Amino acid sequence: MAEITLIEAITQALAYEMAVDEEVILLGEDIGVNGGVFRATSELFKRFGADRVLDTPLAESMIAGLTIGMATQGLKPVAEFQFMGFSYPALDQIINHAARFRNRTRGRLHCPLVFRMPYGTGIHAPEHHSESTEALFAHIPGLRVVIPSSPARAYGLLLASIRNPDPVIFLEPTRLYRLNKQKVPDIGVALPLDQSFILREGIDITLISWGSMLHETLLAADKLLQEKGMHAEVIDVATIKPLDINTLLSSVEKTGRCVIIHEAARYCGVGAEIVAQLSEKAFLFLQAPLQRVTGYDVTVPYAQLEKQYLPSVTRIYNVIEQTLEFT
Amino acid sequence: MTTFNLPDLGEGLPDAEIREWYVQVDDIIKVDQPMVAMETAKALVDIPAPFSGKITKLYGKPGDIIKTGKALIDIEAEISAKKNIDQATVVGNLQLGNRIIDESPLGIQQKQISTPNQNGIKATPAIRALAKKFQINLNDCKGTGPNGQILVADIEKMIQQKSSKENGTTTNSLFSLASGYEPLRGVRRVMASTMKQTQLSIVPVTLVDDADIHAWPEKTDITLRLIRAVMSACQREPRLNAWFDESKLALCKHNQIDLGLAMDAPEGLFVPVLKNVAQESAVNLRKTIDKFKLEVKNRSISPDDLLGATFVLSNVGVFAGRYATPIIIPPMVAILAAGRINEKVVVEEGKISVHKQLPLSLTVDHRVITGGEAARFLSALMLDLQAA
Amino acid sequence: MSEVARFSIEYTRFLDSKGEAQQDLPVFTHSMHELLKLYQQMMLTRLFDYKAVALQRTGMLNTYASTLGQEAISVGIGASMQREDVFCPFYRDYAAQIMRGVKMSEILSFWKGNEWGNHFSECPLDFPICVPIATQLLHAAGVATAFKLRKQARVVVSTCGDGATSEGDFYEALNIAGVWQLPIVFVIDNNQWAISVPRKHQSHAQTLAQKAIAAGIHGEQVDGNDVIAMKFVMDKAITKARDGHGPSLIEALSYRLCDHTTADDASRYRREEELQQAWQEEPLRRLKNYLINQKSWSNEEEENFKKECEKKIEIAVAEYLSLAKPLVTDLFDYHFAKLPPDLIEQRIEAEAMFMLSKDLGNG
Repeated sequence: MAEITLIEAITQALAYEMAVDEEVILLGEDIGVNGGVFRATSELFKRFGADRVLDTPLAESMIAGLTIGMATQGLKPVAEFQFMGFSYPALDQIINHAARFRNRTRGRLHCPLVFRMPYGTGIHAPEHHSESTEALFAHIPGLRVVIPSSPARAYGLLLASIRNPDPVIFLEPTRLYRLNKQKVPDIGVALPLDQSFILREGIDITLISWGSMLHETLLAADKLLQEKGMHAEVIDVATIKPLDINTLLSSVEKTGRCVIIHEAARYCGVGAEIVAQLSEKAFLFLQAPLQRVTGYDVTVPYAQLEKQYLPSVTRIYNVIEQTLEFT
Repeated sequence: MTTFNLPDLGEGLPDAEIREWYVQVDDIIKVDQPMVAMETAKALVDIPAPFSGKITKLYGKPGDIIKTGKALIDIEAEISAKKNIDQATVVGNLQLGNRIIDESPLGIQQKQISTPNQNGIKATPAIRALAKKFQINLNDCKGTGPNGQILVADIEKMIQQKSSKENGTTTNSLFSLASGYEPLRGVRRVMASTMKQTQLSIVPVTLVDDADIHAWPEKTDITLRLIRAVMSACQREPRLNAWFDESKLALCKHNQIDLGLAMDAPEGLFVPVLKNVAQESAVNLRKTIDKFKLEVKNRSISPDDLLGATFVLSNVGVFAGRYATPIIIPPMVAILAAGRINEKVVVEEGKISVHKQLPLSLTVDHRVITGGEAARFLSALMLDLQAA
Repeated sequence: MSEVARFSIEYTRFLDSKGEAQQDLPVFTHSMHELLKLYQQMMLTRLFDYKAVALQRTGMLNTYASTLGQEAISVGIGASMQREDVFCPFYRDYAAQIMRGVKMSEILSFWKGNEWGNHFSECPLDFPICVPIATQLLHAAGVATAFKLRKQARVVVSTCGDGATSEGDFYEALNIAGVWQLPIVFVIDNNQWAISVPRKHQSHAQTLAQKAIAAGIHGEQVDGNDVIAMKFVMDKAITKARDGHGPSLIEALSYRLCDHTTADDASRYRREEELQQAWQEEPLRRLKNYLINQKSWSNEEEENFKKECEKKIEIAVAEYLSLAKPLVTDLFDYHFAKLPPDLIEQRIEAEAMFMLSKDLGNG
C-alpha cells in the first residue's frame, strides 16, 4: 500500500463514502471538472458524474444555504469553501441556520452536513487565503469543529464527520496538505469524533495543539528531549468543539505544566478556552501558569511576514523553558 | 522539458520562415533572450525565450517554414514549467514533503480516560508557593482538605513541626511576627506605608553645591538665613514654590511661601508649616519655629500646623551629613536640605584662607522643574547666603 | 394579460478581430495620437504582464494573476476616468492602475506578499486589488454615495469578473446603485472563465448585462477586445454618471488567454483549440492592424516602442527587487492609529524574536 498525502486521504475518504452511500453529494466551486483547486475532489467527477459532484456558480452564501436545504431532505452534502477566508459570506447561513435547525424544530429537521475548507497560513498565498478563525465557528452552539493533522486522521475524521447526523465544520490545514505521507488503509473505518489524540507520551510538560502547528510542536518536543532530556506529552486536540477535556486534564494532572500552541490570533483564540477549562479543573495540579503560544493579534500578514507571524519552534521552545523553570 | 510552439506573431498569418537561429542545442538561455529570427510576409520578428533553461531541440533550420501553433523549440526549464507537474493549487506554494508518518492514527491510548488522575498532589498554586517559601516538601504534607487537598493549616502545622525541631520555640500562627520584630506605629508606620507610594511617580533630580558663608556675622540664625535665601530664590524661580496635580498634569504656583520646616523627633519626622514667611518678621519667625519645636517634642502640635507646605526646608546638618538626596513630599515639587557647616581652604587675593561652607542639596521633580530652573534657584540661594 | 416590461441589451463594437472598422469610428479616433496612446498602453501592460509571469516562473514572484487578453477593457477604463474619480478594481486591471499612477513595482510587491504594494504613493484615491469576490462593488457603491451626498462631480468605476456576478454582493451593489442613482459605473470583465467554471455554467441569463434590468439601471454589452469600443462606451457611461443621470453596468466580452493564476493550469479544464481560437480575437492585434493600415504605425516603430517599454519595465523590476524586506514591526504598526498596550507587548516580543533569530543567523 502506497503512502498518501493528507489531501489524497481526503479524496480517498470522499470516494469511499460516496461509493457506499449514494446520499453523499459534493458541491463547491471548481470541484467537478477541475477536481478542486487543491485536487481534493480529483477524479470524483469522472467517477460519480455531475449528479453527485456539483460545480456551483461563484456564491458562498448560496453554497451554504443549498447544503442546508439538501441536508434537511436526508441527503448528506459535503460542501467545499475554496478557502476559509471566503467562507465568511456563508456565516449567516451557517450561524443562523445550519447550527440551529435541529434545536428550533425540536429534532424534527436536522442537518447532516459537512462544510470543508482549507485553512491556515504558511503557503505564501496572496491575502485572505491564510485565515485561521476556527474560534468563530467553535463559539457557535450547534456546530462541531474538526481539524485533522495527519493523512490517516484526515481520512478517519472526515468519514466520521460525513456520518455524523449534525453539522461539522471540517478545517483542513493547507500547509499540511502535501507535507507528510502515511499509509491509510481504504477500508472505511472512521475515527472517533470529540476525542483528542496523544501523539507523544511524557511526564514533564503537556503540549496541546492542532492542525499545522503540531509540526512545530513536535519539533519543539524533540528539541526538549535532546537538550534537556525531558519528555513532553504532545496532544492533538483534533475535535476543537466539543472538547475532549478529560484527555487534556489527565495529562496536565500528570505533568502539572502545559503550553497550548495555535497559529490563530491570541485574543479569544481556542487556546483561551482550553486555558480556562484547565485552570478550572486542573487548578490543584498546576505547578506553573498555563501558557499559550499563538499568532499575534494582527491580521494575518502577506507572504513576506508570514514566517515572523507564525509561532516558530524557537518561540514555542522559549515558552516551554519558561514553564519548566517557573518557581 | 517543454515544447514551445510558434506563437501567433500578431499578424494573423498561418506560418513563418526560420531566418536565423541565435541559439543552438545545449545552449543555456535566459527568459526574454532572443532565440530566433522568424520572417513573416511582412516583417522579420525576433522571438524571445519564454523562460530560462537549456535548449534541447530545434524544430527546423533556416529556410524551413513553421506553422503557427506548431513546435518551434524544446527548452528544459530551470524550474519545471507548470505543464509537467500539477501544482495542485490555485495560489501559493504547497510544500511537497517526503516524511512518512508511522504512528497509529489513534495515537497513544490512555489507560484511564473517564476519570481524571487522583493520585497527584492536590494543592492550589498559592499553597504550593507558600510551601516553597517555607521549604516544606508537599510530599511530606498530609492534606486535610477534600480528597486529600493540602490546606493552609496543613502547611502551618508542618512549619510548626519543622521549627520546633530546629530551635524548640513555637509560634502561634503563620502570620505572627518572627521574633525580634516590632510593628511600626504612628508617624513611622505612615511613613513606611506612604513613602514608597508617593515616590512612585516623582522624577527626582538633586543638585548640590556649597554656599560660602564666610561673610556671616557671629551668632547668625542659620535657619532664618536659609528661610530668607529660600524667599529670594523663590522670587527668582517661582515654579519651585508650587503644587503639581499629576492626574491633570496641572501646576499651581503659589503667591506666598508656606515653608515646611523638617523637625526630628523620637516618634519620627514632623514638618510644621510657617505660613507666609515673607510677611513675618525675623523675630516672629524665630518665635514660631521655637514654638513648633516644643510642640513637636511634647507631641502637642496641631494637625493644622502640619498642612499646606508649598516648600520644605530640611536642616539635616545639625548633627552630621554634608549632602543629601532629600525626598520631595507631593504635591510639592522641590525640597532643600542644608548640610553640616564645615570649613574649607580657599585662595583669597593670593592668600590662603579658611572659609565656612554651608552645603546645599536641592531636589526638584523633573516632571515639572527643569535643570535650568533648579540651577537658577540654587544660584539665587547661594547668592543670598553668600551676602553678609 | 398585458405586457408590463420589456428590455433590450445593446452591443457595441467598432473594430472586428482583424482590425477593420464595422461602422463609423467615434470622434476621438480622429486623433491618431490618442489612438496610438491606447495601443501603446495595451502593449506596455502586456509586456509588463509577461514579465510578471516570467518572474513568477523564475521564483522571483509569488502567485500572480495575469491579464493576458483583457488589456483593452482596462485601458478603456483608464482612458475615460478623471484624476479625481475613484477606481475599485478586482485583480486584473493593471492597465488602468498603471495609467492612474500605480507603480509597476507596487503591483509586483503586492503579489510578492508585501502590503506596501497597496500603498500607491502616486495614486492615493484608488482602492487596492480586491481578492474576496465581488465585495469591492459594495465598497465602490459606498464611495459613490459619499460623492453624491457631498454633491461632487466625481465618479466611481468598479470592475469584477463574470464569476462575481453570481455573488450576492453583486446584486446588492447594483440594487443600491439603482435605488439611490449613484454616480458609479460597474464593469464586468467577462473573460468567459471563473477558474474552471465556464460562463454558461455561471448563469442562465443570456447576457450578464441584463442583470442591470433587475436593478433598474442601464446595462449594455461591449466587445471588450475592441479598445475603441471600450473607451467609447466608458466615456458615455462615466459622463452619464458624472452628470447625475445614474449608474451603468457594462459587460465587456473578452477571453482569459492566461490561466486563472500562475498556480492554475487551465489545460485541465479547457480545450487547446478554444484557446487558440480566442487568440485570433485578441485586442492588440486588431488595433495594430488598423493603425498600420492607417499608416500611423509600423513594425519598426513597434520594435522601438517595445524596447522602450522593456527598459521601463526593467527599471520597475529593479526597483521592485531592491525594495527592502518588510520590518517585523510592520506586522503591528499599521493596525491602529495608536497601538494599544497588548499589541505593544506582542510587538516587543516579535522584535526580540527577530533580533534573536538574526543573531543566530536564522534570518
